[in-house]
Amino acid sequence: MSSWADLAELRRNGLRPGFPVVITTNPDRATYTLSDIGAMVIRHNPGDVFPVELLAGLRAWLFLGSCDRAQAVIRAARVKGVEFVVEAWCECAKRLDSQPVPCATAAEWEAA
Amino acid sequence: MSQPRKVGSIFVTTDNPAFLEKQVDAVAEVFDFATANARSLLDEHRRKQLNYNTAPFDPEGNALRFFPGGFTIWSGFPGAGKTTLLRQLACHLMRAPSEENPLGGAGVFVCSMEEYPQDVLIRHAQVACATENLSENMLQWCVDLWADKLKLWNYRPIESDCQYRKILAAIRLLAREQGVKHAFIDSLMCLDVASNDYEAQRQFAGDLARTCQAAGVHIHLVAHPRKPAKADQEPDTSDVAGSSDLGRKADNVLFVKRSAQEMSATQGHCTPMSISVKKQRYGTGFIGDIHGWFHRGLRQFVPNQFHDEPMRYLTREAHRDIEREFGGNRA
Repeated sequence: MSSWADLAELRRNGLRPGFPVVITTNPDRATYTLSDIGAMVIRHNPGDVFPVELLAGLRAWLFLGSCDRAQAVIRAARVKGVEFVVEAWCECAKRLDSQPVPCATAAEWEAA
Repeated sequence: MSQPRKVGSIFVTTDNPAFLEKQVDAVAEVFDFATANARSLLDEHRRKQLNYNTAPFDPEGNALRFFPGGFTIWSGFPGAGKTTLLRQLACHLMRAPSEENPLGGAGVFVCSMEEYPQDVLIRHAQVACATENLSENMLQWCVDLWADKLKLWNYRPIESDCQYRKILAAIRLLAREQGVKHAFIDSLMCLDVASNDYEAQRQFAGDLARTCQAAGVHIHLVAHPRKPAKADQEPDTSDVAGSSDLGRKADNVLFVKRSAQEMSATQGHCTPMSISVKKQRYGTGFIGDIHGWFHRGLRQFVPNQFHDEPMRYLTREAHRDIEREFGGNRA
């Protein structure tokens, strides 16, 4: 599992992750599997600053538990002029969505 | 787009340069010399130019100089005398400062990954005292004079002792806390850098250069030649084993050579020997061969074949006492 600092270090060295960057608030088996095949999986702690600038020009998969959070990240990117290709995991629809809209229900683990 | 490669467990490719361009403040990255003072710039430059150490085969530094913050690669075919010459260099660097040698008395760290520190100490003492038959008194002189100058890697024949990052960390600490100015690593092939892993070697070359600069030490790295060939073959910088990054990043690349027909060329106790300077980034910029002789009895490199007087690396009192043991009959 990586951190935002790892991504910053990588990019300072002129490198970028080869696979889409996975950002998750809840590392589970799926994200560990992605990590095993060589993807950079970043654990984001809800409430911490989300350094969206670091995602500039990258592809990112957000697993933030709710589409509200994903929407907030996309909004922040627009405000800061950060361009990146993003897809967010929608727990309700069980799919990656490039234009997440607020869901009727948050993920079960999120509600717990 | 470059080919993906792995950094740790993560697949990476080359980033879009635009990302870093946005992060960099170009003005802050540029040295502004418009406000610099010409005199202080020149003084600083001259101070750096005068801050060098020399080698026993060129004690005046007319040809070769070692500056802090760089590294020298010592190569040569097996039996050429690299290690013996480096022992003499260590003694030369540690000799007490004098009028002729104002920069003497440097702290030295010797990291041998083939010999125990006790043996390394004795071999250095043999060179300093110019004899293979070291007495207790001679060794005691060396112990007393080198106690605060010579640091020896506590080699234990276990794998973790050859981790180069651990050795470089020790060098940085010794430079910072104990005044070490020169470090000897003997040799590249004993480190945990695989000879066929060019990426690891590139990384090692970078780490080595950064350690030299950060600690202000000069590192002497023994690296064997790439190709097994005759001792009289003329090598060049690309013949140093490992990644070419090593040769490119080094301040100096030297090949130690001994005559192929050693026996026929031998004059008494001496064997002709040369140090071929293949690269010298700073100082005199001299490229070429420095010739001399290896005196087997004295265990020293000497300037000519008729030289029977040992080069003196200890104090005057120590040598007076040591010569008394020989009773004027050294050779």
